[in-house]
Amino acid sequence: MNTFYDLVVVGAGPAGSASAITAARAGAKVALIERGIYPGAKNVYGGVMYLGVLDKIVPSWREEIPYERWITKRETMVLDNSSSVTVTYHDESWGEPPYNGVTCLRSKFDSWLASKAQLLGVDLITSTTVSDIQFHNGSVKRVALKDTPDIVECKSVVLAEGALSLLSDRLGLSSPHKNNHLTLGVKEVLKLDAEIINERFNVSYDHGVDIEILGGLSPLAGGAFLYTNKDTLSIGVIVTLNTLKHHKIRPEFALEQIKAHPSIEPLIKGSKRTEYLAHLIPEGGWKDRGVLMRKGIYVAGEAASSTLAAGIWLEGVNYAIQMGIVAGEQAASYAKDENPSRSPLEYQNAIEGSFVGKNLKKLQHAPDLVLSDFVQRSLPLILNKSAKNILTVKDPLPKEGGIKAISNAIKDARVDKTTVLKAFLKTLWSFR
Amino acid sequence: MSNQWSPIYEKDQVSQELVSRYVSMTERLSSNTFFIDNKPHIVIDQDVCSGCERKTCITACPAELFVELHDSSIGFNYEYCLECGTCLILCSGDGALSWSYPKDGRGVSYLYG
Ligand SMILES: Cc1cc2nc3c(=O)[nH]c(=O)nc-3n(C[C@H](O)[C@H](O)[C@H](O)COP(=O)(O)OP(=O)(O)OC[C@H]3O[C@@H](n4cnc5c(N)ncnc54)[C@H](O)[C@@H]3O)c2cc1C
Ligand code: SF4
Ligand code: SF4
Repeated sequence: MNTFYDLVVVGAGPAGSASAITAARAGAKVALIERGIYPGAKNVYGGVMYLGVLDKIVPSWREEIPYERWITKRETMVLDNSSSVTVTYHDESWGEPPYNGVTCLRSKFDSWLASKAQLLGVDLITSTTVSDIQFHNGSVKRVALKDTPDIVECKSVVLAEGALSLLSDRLGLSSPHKNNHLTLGVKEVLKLDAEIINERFNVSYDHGVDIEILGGLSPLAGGAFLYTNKDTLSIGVIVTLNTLKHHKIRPEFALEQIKAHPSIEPLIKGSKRTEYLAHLIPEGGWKDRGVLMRKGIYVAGEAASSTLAAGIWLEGVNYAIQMGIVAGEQAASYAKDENPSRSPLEYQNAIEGSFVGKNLKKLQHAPDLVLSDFVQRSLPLILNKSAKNILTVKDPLPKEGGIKAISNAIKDARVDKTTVLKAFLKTLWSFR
Repeated sequence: MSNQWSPIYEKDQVSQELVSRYVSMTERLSSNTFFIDNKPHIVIDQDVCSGCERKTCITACPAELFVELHDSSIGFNYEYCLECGTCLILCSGDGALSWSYPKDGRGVSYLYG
C-alpha cells in the first residue's frame, strides 16, 4: 500500500466516493478508506435516490447504475386506526430519461460509485477503519488506522463518515446539538416476485412506486416508507431517538405495527424477509452542520447533517454527493497549494450557494414541524375523519357539506380551531 | 389475520395481536450476513450498568442485544450487532460503553442495504 496521498477520504458512501472522484479529476492522489468489506456493506437507507447531481461527475450514470426501478408514482399515505388517506402523483414520463427518482440497493450502488473513483486511479482500501487524524504545524499530517500500526500520510482529509460521526465528534467538528436530532431507521427487505409487484402496485416492468407514510406510530414520532425494488420491497420506519428513549418501545415493534396496518398489509402479503437493517439519520439539517472545515479537514455528507428530512421529502444521497463534490474540489486544491491559512469559509460558502445549503436553509423549520405533535397525531386524525365524513353516505340524513365535515373532524380529533389555524400557517411558512 | 387493526400502543402497552405476529429477534436477524469478530467491539462496564435506572439500551437496541439479568446487571451479546450506534447515543450511564467498530470489516455486511 502506498502510504502518501494528497487526500485521504474517510468512508466510501456517496459523499466519500463523490469527493474521491472529484479530487482525482483535479489531479490529486487519493486514498478512499472504507471500514466495510465492500462499499455499502455497512450502509442503510430507505431506497429512493435522485441522481441528477451525478451529471457533473459521472454523466453516463443513467445507462450504468445498478438500478432496481425508476419511480413513476409517488404516494403520501396518512394513516389512522383502520383507514388511510393517500395522495398519488403518477407520471409515466418519470420512467424515461432524464428520469426523477430511482430505487437502488446501497450494497450495489455504493460499490458502483466507488468503482468509478477507482477507474480514475483512486486507491480504494476496504475492511479498514480510520481511527484518528493527526496534525502538524496547524494542518493535517496523517491518519491512523484501527487495529494496525499503519499510518497514511496526507495533506488533506475529507471526513465522509456518515451519521454516526465518531471522528468528527472527537475532533470537535460536529454540532453539539446533532445527537438531539437523531432518528433511528429500522427497515426490512422483503422478497416478492417481480410480476406480483407489478400487478399489486400497478406498474410496468422497471417502473416503481415510492410511498411515504405518516401517522400510525404514536406515541413515537417519525414516519415510515414503502418502496418497490425489482423483486423486493423496502419497508421501514424512522423514529426519533428521543421518543424511543422516553416511551421504551422497541423499534421493530413500530415496524410491525406499520406492516400490520390494513392499508399496508395487503401490499406486502406473501413476501419473505431477506434482510433486517438499522441505521441512524441526523435530521437537524443546516443548523447542525457543525464546523465544516478546519486545518485541511473537510466534513461532507451526513457527518455534517446534510440530509433533508421533511416529511414528503427524504433526500440524503443527492445531498451527500453534492457536498462530496465540493469537498473533493476544495480538498484537492488545499493539498496542492499547501496553504494552511486557507479560509474555512470558502467551503461553507460554496455549500451554502449550492442546492444543499439553499434547500436545507429554506426548509430549516420543516423537520420540527413534521415531528410536532400536531402533524404526528392530530393531522392524521383530522384528514381521515374529514374524508370519512365527506365520503360516507348517510342517507336518509342530509349531507353535512365540506366545511361542516371538516370542522366536525377537527372537533372529533379534539383539537381546537386556533391550534389548527396556527399549525396551518406554520406549515405554509415552513414549506414556503 | 383479523381485519381489525388496533392502535398497538394503547397506554404504551404492546397489544396481544402484535405479540402474536412478532417473530423472535433471532429469526429476524437470521436473514442477515455477519462475519463475527472474535473479540467484542462493544464492551460494557457492569459497575455502571448495575446502577443504571433507565436501562434504555434494553428497549432501544434494534437487535435486542441487551438483557437485564436478575442482579440488575446487563447481559450483552455483540455478535449480531447492526453497528447503528443507538446504544452509544442513548446510554444513560456515564462511560458505560466502550464502543468501536469491529476490526477488518467484520460484523454485519448488508447484501441489500
Ligand atoms: C432508514 C433510512 C432511510 C433513508 N432513506 C433515504 C432515501 O430514501 N433517499 C435518500 O436519498 N437518502 C435516504 N437516507 C439518507 C442517506 O442514507 C444518507 O443521507 C446518505 O447515506 C449519506 O451519505 P454519506 O456518504 O454522508 O454517509 P454514509 O452513506 O453513511 O457513508 C459513510 C461511510 O463511511 C464509512 N465509515 C464510517 N466511519 C469510518 C471510519 N472511521 N473509517 C472508514 N470508514 C468509515 C461507512 O462504513 C460508510 O460506508 C436514508 C437513511 C436511512 C438511515
Ligand atoms: S450499535 Fe445498534 S445494534 Fe449494536 S448494540 Fe448498539 S444499539 Fe444494538
Ligand atoms: S443504558 Fe448504558 S449504563 Fe444503562 S444499562 Fe444500558 S448500557 Fe448500561
